Amino acid sequence: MWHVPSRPPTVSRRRVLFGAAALALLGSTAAACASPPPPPEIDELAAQLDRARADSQLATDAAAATPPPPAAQALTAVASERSAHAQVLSDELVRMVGTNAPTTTATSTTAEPATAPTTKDVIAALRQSADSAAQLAATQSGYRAGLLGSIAASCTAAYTVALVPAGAPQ
Amino acid sequence: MTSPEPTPTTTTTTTSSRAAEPTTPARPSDAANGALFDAIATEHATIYGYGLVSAHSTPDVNDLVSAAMAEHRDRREGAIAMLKARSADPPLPAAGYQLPMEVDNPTDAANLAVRMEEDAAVAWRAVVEQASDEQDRAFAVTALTQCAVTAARWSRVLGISPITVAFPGGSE
Repeated sequence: MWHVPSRPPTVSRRRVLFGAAALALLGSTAAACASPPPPPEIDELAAQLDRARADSQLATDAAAATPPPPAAQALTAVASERSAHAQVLSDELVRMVGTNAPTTTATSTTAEPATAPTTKDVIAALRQSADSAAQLAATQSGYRAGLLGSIAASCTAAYTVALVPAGAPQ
Repeated sequence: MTSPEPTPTTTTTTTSSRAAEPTTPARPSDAANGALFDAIATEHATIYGYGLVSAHSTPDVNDLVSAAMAEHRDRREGAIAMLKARSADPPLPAAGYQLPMEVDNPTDAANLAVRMEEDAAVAWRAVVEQASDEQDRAFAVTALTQCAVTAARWSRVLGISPITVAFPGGSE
């Protein structure tokens, strides 16, 4: 009677150890192979990084299409602000995952646009980015929430004020 | 930073306008409530400051002045309600505030407005970081965003370029 109940725990403990070892092995091989599914937090932040890079590129392209000077200036400012966001987001991702480079999305820029983007396109992109950063900020905490909040604020100020001509109704 | 004029008796670190004569409630020790308390104190100071901005501005920015003032008042009331809902007492407005700069003309007024919006953005970003629930965080993100937008509008009045900053309320 004594042996019977005592056995299952030993077995299960061994099984757990085995399972853990197998998992660890699996995890490490997966990491070594290619892209393991990253935890959602990292995924979400990486998406923000991609957005920042894409917006920066879009604004740069729109500025290169030589709109009237005030618009070009504003677009250039947007490009540099979004690239500053990308930099800080990437730093944060590096901090979260350790030494690994955060994303392998070297080129997140979708298909080459047939026509040069306009200020309108940049406004639309920034509106989406602002919403997405604000939503994510509310679900995060601490520094990450604050950073995303500032990014949302920056994008909103850009598309509601900076990219709208001075006299236009806002 | 707009600071309370009759120097508060307590030593404060940053924004706080822990008020003057009536015994103002102490800053809550809890981080989330403390940040909200500070933000309300900043809003008190900002609303006071906008009185001066209004007095020194030209009529063509009337809409901006009144919209900004209304926004800060609404936000202050909202924040006070939030703090009270958690049984914490909000700070009282100070009897007067020492301004961070002289305000004698429309340019000074716009400069003060930009400065106050920046200070408010800092206070609200702190709330975003310290908040413990999603609703409060969303409120603070909206506040931070509105401060950044209003700061950009004032920067445009001043002819500053660029009129926006990459990290409103942040030091990145």
